[in-house]
Amino acid sequence: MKSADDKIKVLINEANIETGYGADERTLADALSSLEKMRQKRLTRSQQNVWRIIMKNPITKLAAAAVIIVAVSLVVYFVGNPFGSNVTFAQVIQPILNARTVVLDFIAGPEGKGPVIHDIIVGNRIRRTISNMETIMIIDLDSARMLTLDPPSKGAAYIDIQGPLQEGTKNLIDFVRKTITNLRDLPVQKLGQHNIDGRNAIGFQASGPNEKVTIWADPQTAKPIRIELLLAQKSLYILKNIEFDVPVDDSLVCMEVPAGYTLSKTEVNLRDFTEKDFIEALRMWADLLLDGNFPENINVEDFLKLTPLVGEKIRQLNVSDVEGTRLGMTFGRGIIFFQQLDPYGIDWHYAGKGVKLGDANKAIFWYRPKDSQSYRVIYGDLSVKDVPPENLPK
Amino acid sequence: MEDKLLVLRCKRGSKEALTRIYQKYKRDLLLLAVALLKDVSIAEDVVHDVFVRFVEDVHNFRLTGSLKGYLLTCTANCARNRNRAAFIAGSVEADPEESACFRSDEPAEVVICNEQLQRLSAAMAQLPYEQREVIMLHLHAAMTFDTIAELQEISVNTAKSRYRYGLDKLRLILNHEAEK
Repeated sequence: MKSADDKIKVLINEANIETGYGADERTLADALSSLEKMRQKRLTRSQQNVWRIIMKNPITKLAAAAVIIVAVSLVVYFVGNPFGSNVTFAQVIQPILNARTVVLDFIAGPEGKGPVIHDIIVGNRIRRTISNMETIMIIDLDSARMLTLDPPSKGAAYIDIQGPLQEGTKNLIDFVRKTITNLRDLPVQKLGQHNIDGRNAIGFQASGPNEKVTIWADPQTAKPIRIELLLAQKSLYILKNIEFDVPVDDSLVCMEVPAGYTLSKTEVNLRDFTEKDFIEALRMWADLLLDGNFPENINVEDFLKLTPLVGEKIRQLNVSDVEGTRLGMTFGRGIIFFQQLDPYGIDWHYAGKGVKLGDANKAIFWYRPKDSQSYRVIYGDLSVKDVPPENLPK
Repeated sequence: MEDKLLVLRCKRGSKEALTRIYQKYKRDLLLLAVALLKDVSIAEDVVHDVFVRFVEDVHNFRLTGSLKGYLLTCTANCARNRNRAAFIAGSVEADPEESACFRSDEPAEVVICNEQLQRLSAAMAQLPYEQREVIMLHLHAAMTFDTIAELQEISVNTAKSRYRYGLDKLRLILNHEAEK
């Protein structure tokens, strides 16, 4: 029986049929005509608010939230100390450890273009909200867990953030602490007094090998009210409206699921991320949001702006809840992969502008992994090749 | 992943995505339909209907498995309906020995079947329809007997029997053909 199976299989595999373009045209013309009719029909329907649609489904909301959470968490993925290593950790954290609470706004990219992340930091816990979405994140850095709350759907989920997410988030707080502590000891350039965010502030600027930091502080207390960090000359992060020791209700950073919320049983893991995740994120970005075209450029602020839309597009895929969450996680891990390039000083270049998904002849992204002699080059069909520096696309 | 994104783009009215799905799977669908129906013109109609209906219902479509599997199932269902309709109408099947692959009304409409497909189609035509379907769905569409049984509304054992008897007969036909 086996041989008969194989013989027929071979015959089927080798069987081929070629249609003339006339036959293809007939089928495609009718199918495309139906598609156009369907599109017109849908256009006539009233458009519902994107977020209201998402909120109706708590589970797909989790998939959407997963995308958002990753993006938001990772924009604070700092590595290293921009001020060098001449100051000991104890010296750095001592004054700021006295501040029980820190409240700040965080912006990735130029101000006014992207959403604002609002953090309330109480010890090793953070309550994080974002201006263009309703999800609330409560992060416990000690246990490396994140509780996400979705007020409209009353959905809640715990997310494991062990690894880079935990460390990256810790580094943000350390960054604030070190910046403040080291202000007076650094060889900084004075920028004079200016009106910053509606307040009189005195400015200082310090530059490291891979970053430039501008700090605006209250001239009376010397406490910073605004910090601007430029990484690798292209990624800008702004901390503003910084306040210390403001009264904060502990319930705001409580890791217990509040009454009235339903805890999702879906397990979310953001620990592992690879180049493959980044490639899938690029595919989703092009396919879900840009009708098969790669974006003009890629940066953190765009990731942040687009994450709610990606969540909505995943919902529209009508995939299972598990699959939707998996897609959200993949996109999120792709962002993490991209986010960790600059902090590690990895050379990367994006060239996807004008390239369509599927174009195997055009390179869209290349980077040199740490300790590697060659570059990893990703093409428009999302294939990847190892290429020596001298053969990189011009 | 690619198929899910293509389906989503179709839902949003992307002609490019629909064309891509058609180009990606038309050969598989056509091959199944030709093997089942032994008539290229009818097979083309079946594939045409499958794609048009897919578009008409794409808004409600939820991809839970593979898109290829889904389209092949639709093709098998549509081909079965055509076969039943022809049976009820009393149509006489073409001579089993005659090649299924002909069509040359207009140069642009020419359909070319290679030798293997002609052999397959001619051999398949000598089997009862149900046996053809089980063999093609199992070997070409890679469906399990459980799925095929569900599709044909029969027991799994019946599906396996149809496959076994059909395969035995096909082997005899092909061996006989080789001897000639």
